Amino acid sequence: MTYESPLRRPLITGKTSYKQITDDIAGPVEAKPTKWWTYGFAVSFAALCLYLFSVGYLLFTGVGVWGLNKTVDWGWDITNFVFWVGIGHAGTLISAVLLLFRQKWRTAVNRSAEAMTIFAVVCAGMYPLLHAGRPWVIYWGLPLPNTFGSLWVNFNSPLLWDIFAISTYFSVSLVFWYVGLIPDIATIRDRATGLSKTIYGVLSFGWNGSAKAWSRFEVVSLILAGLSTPLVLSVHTIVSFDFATSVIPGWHTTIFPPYFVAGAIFSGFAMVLTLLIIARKAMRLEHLITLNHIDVMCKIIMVTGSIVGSAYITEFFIAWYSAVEYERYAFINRAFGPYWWAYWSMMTCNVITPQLFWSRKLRRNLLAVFIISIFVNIGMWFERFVIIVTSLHRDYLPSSWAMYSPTWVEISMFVGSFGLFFTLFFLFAKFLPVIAIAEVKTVVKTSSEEFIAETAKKDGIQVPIEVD
Amino acid sequence: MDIKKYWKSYGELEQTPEYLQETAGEFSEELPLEEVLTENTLGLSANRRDFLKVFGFSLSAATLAACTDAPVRKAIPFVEMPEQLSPSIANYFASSYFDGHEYASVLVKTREGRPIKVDGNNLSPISKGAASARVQASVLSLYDTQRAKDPMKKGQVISWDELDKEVMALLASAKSIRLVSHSIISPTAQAAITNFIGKYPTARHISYDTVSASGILEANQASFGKPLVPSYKFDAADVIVGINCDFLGNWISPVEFTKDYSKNRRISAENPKLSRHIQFESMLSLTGSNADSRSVFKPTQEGLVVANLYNKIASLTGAATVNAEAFEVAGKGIEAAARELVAAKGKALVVSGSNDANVQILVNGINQMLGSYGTTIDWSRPYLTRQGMDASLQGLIDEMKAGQVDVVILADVNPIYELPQGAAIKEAMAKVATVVCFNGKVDESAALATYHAPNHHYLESWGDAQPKVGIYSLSQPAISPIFNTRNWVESLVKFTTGNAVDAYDLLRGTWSALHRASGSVMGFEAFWRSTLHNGVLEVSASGTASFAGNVAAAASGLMKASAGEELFLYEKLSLGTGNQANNPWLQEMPDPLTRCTWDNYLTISKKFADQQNLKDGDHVKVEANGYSVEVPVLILPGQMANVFGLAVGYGRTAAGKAADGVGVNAYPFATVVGGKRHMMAAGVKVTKTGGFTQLALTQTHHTIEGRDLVKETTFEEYLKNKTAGNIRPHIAVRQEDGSFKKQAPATIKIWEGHEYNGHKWAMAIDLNACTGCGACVVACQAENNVPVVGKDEVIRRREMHWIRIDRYFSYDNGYAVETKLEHNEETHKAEKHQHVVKTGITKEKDYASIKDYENIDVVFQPVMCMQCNNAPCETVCPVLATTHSEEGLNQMTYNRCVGTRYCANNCPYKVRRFNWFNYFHNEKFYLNPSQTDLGKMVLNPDVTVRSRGVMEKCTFCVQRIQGGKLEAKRAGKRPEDGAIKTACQQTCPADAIVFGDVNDVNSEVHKLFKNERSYAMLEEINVQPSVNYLVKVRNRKSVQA
Repeated sequence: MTYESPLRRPLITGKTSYKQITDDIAGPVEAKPTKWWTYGFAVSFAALCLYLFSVGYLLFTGVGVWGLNKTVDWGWDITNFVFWVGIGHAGTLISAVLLLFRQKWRTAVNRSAEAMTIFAVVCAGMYPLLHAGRPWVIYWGLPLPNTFGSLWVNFNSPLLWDIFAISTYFSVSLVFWYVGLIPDIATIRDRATGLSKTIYGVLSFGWNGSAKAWSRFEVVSLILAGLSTPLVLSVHTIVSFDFATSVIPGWHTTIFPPYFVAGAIFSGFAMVLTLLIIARKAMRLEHLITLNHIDVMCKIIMVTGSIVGSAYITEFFIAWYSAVEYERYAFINRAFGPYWWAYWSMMTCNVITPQLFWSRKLRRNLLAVFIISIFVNIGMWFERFVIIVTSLHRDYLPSSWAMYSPTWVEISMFVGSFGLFFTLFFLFAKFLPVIAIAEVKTVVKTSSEEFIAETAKKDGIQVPIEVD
Repeated sequence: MDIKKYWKSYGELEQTPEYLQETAGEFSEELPLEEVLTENTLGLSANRRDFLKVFGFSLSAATLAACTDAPVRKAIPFVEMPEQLSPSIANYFASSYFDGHEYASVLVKTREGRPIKVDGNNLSPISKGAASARVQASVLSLYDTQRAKDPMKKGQVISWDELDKEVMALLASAKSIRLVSHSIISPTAQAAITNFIGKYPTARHISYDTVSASGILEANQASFGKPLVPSYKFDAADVIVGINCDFLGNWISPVEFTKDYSKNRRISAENPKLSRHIQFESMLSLTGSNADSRSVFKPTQEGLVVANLYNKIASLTGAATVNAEAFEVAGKGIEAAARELVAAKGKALVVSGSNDANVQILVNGINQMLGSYGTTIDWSRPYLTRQGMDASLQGLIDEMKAGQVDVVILADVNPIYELPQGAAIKEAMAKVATVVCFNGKVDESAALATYHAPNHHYLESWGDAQPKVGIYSLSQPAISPIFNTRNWVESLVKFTTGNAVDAYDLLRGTWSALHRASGSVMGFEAFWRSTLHNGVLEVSASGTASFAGNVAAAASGLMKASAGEELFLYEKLSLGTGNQANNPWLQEMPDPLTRCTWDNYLTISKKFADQQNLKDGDHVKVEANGYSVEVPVLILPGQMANVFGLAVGYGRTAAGKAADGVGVNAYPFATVVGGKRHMMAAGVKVTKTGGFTQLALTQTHHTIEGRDLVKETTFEEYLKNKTAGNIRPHIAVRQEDGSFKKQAPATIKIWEGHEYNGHKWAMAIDLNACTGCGACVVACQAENNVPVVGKDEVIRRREMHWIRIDRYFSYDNGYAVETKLEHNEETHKAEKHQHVVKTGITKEKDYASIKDYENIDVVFQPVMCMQCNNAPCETVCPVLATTHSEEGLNQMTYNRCVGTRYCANNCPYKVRRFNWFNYFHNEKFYLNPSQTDLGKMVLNPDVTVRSRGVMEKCTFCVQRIQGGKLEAKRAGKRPEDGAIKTACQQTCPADAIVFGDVNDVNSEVHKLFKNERSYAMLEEINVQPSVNYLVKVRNRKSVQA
């Protein structure tokens, strides 16, 4: 047993017990769906249907139903791809990196963050598939043995690296998430009856809670965490290579890998916050997902936001310093060209708003945090739009300069991708425990408010425990 | 346990050496393949693949050898393969194109019996191997599904026999017959008309030209006694002055003029000579945009410009001046032009596009003073392509109005549409009892015909032409008639004699006379065959004329300049007079200057736009000469605030699905004075209506942003330093000792480059020769099956052209003193130097400071795939759909493409085109020719039709390269330089594009790559394009007073 200083903020507030935790978390899974879940699911599912309709139309007619043109060949498609991949970043960071760093506060949020990661990567992955002119042959992008002769993939292409990066990330995240779920599914199985018992029984892979099982569980978790950690850095690094290795001014930048990774963590945490603020309220998990959790995540947003902000400024400096007229123009055009509004939206949302988190008061003001997290999400979407569209629309030859605007298909696919995301998330929230039961239980005896109070009393320390 | 073995012979059991030898091959006996394939006749040691190649080639050789014969004259079903037709082998037929406006001697490429491409005939002294966009596109008009398909009486299909019978009966009883045609240049047709008039004495023939040259004809009648247009030798002129004369675009014989003109524009160190071209014009024309100096005036000031130029030259040469109000354009352009012309006496040429005989008499007078006759103007071979006298046309209208005409025969003319008097003609024609029409379409005029006897397309007919005195050419059918149509000359002869005759026999009749006249030593059959093979015949001609014009009278009869707003009517390079308006290739061809497709529009000056608060696409109502239209505006620099431009050729109502309803008809705006048609209107009223049409522009940014993409210099600078203007980028590279050294980008490598041991295909484009005419765009479209996407998609910036001509304006803001820091090579210090620089505004951020929107410079830059050595597209394709060939081409494997479009994003030249839709199947693209069975016939079978979702781009016509290589391989040598031509190069009237193998040190392209003017666009990013450009040199030098 580790010893937690009573001076640390509690990770669980109020009185709690192991049974209480199991009841609180497994309860929504076992109970009938609440009214709010039903409404939320209905809206999400409607959006998903919109998505499916748009995708069907797209597949039937061709990529021309989007607003792209001869100059801007990627628009909302890749913007949304990078946006969703970015969102999918927090999950791995929380589950893997924070696990390795023994950050116990992660226990309350890791499960939903991981789920979010997987669903976001699903949403993201659809774009490279659907943006292709001939999606039915997209599997040619895989280095499969084939009957076409000696046809092979191009290992020089960052898009190929992307395919590897995203699929690796997706599979490792999925396995990690599922392995973490096994003890909790077994918990539900043990409490369930009838058909549910059978289904959860199968899903729990015969988990018996033996010491050996736990020991293996711990080892596998650590191995997966070790595997995932480099992925946090690699995925967005490789996504950034799509742009960084090109010759297009505004894309051809060595700063992209760290800048993209920071931006991804930034947006991922913002999305986690957005979701958790709703979830903790809707599912009455305030004592497990406390203000302290939110406070810590706000700090990460502030740090990564500052990194991103510095990157923006560095880019401008380097564009000027390089004395390359195309590079200079690309950046002047970003700020003052026809897409200035996108640039300034990005700057406002990504650089200015996170700085508000210097204030502890704001970090602990749920409404403020919620609004800022939305701002960050918007800002990060605009960042990708700015990078992709404003760089492409005016590159080397002024004769080819063009404007791009999305059609209803792109817009509905974007809105619809949220439908896909939330449909999956609602299903997850209904059928699987949104908080890692087993992991939260590990901190009850070290970091709960009750326990800290006990320890303090025992140690005779006066602790100013905050009750928010 | 051993497996039981059975043996077939003792040999097998014993494995004797005989047995082993016998069973080593597939066959027990040696096949005599080697012997067969190494026969001396082939001289090849061939394997199976070579055998197939040889097989293919012997077929092609046999076919090509058989080319001299005329094609079959009757349709033959393919179950019986005609001797000439070999699958996959192209046949070429020489023919002639004349649409009443533009003449071209052409070579028609047919595949499997269908014409798929039309190119200029090398042997023709007029076409010289080049073809304009309209001639290129004419092959598609053959497959127009909306051509007239059957003879008709009042809209009902009847048989030819019935039609002939009824028409002949009517003709026999007619009291007055009028045959209306464009200028007839066909001797056979002329003979048929003469015979027709002989049979029906009440008949008269009236010819007109859609864009009339009546003014020139009348002036030359008055000045020289010859109602003809003489030959102009632009190559013999050092100083050329054009006055509202688009001789590189649409005037008289633009392809021929461009060929000649560009000879003195392709400047080189060996021949540092550059002609000087001064243009005075009312709106920016293709010719004006190529001029070294350009001034603007109002259309009605044309007379003043010419008269003042006359007077200035007269006073310089000591001749008598004429009475004319003094007038000068901005910058004293007339004065300067006069001095330069006089200085270049004998090598000077002044041309005017005016249809005012008085103006043309003055122009004749000027050319007379300059000694142009006999030097730059040649009377020995005048043009016959412009014969129409405006007065006779007016006479016809009056006669018809008065009800004095019984029968009008329209021989491939559409007067109701293409004449300003169209409405009057329509009205008058109602009083004509019978209208017989030979038009190939049920067009605006044919719709009113009593009898419609549809004519063949020219690619289906026999015919001949004499575009210039003594220059003949033949037309031969390249395909059997697709519809139930008949050559109109045959129809006319049938009406005359009552006997069915074949145009072929008529032609041979005419040409046997010609044979006798030509003094050919060959027998007629041999003469006929050789002429038919070559397509052209030149017989000697001579002729001079002495000037006897009354310039004083002409000066007093000049049109008065008006004070108000004026409209200038012009022809576009694409649609011209509009007779091929239903050709989607032409509709989608961007206008060289405005870059607009699928529309006509009122070109307005920036000043007027600001005054009226108009932006591109805003509708205005234009009223003039009792006619009005609502039309979108387009801001075009280079014209005065009170001058507007509007293109003719649009606003068709019965041309077909591609043309109907596109744009407005501008012909009725033309001013008709005493029957004389002037393509302008004074007293124009332009009012904003509030409507808006999005114009389909392929280029929306019009300046080059100060970028070094098009390099240019002046002739003066060039003479001092041959590399003037060609500043090459260098990159400072850190050396081992820590110092920095300037290196050419190509010397810096991050990976091993490609090796080009065999060929290395490359292209050089002379920006000084390129006029921007756009013929290459259509040639490429025809050669490479480039789809037509329609107006909506062009608005979405998705046109598919593989070659485009970028056009940039720079706004002249006078001169300014600029202080620059310059590196002193001796002291190694930066020093301040003051330079007088021309402040051409090329950046968007400086637009506000533009003082002058009239005085502009224009550059054209053809851009296609640069086939980079370090191609950015190749590295990024995840599936290797675009790869580098051993000969330096960026190959595009359509079948492998999954359509990520990453390559297009990463292309710095933005030349890649994506198939956003299934253009050949999706009903939205019904205008794409390949959507109809008939339209599919124009597709080049050597080039894949790309499916939805794949990327495409220029391949340097790889199918032609492969064809050329195979041919050379058969001959056992490298392809000769110039034997392989890309489609764009082949058709270029300016010979601006040179393609070849840079590994061949004797090749033209190799030499051009070594030229001091040669540069690679965006050299600094080191993609190493295989296309080099040659610096543009403007002849700014002016003669000092």
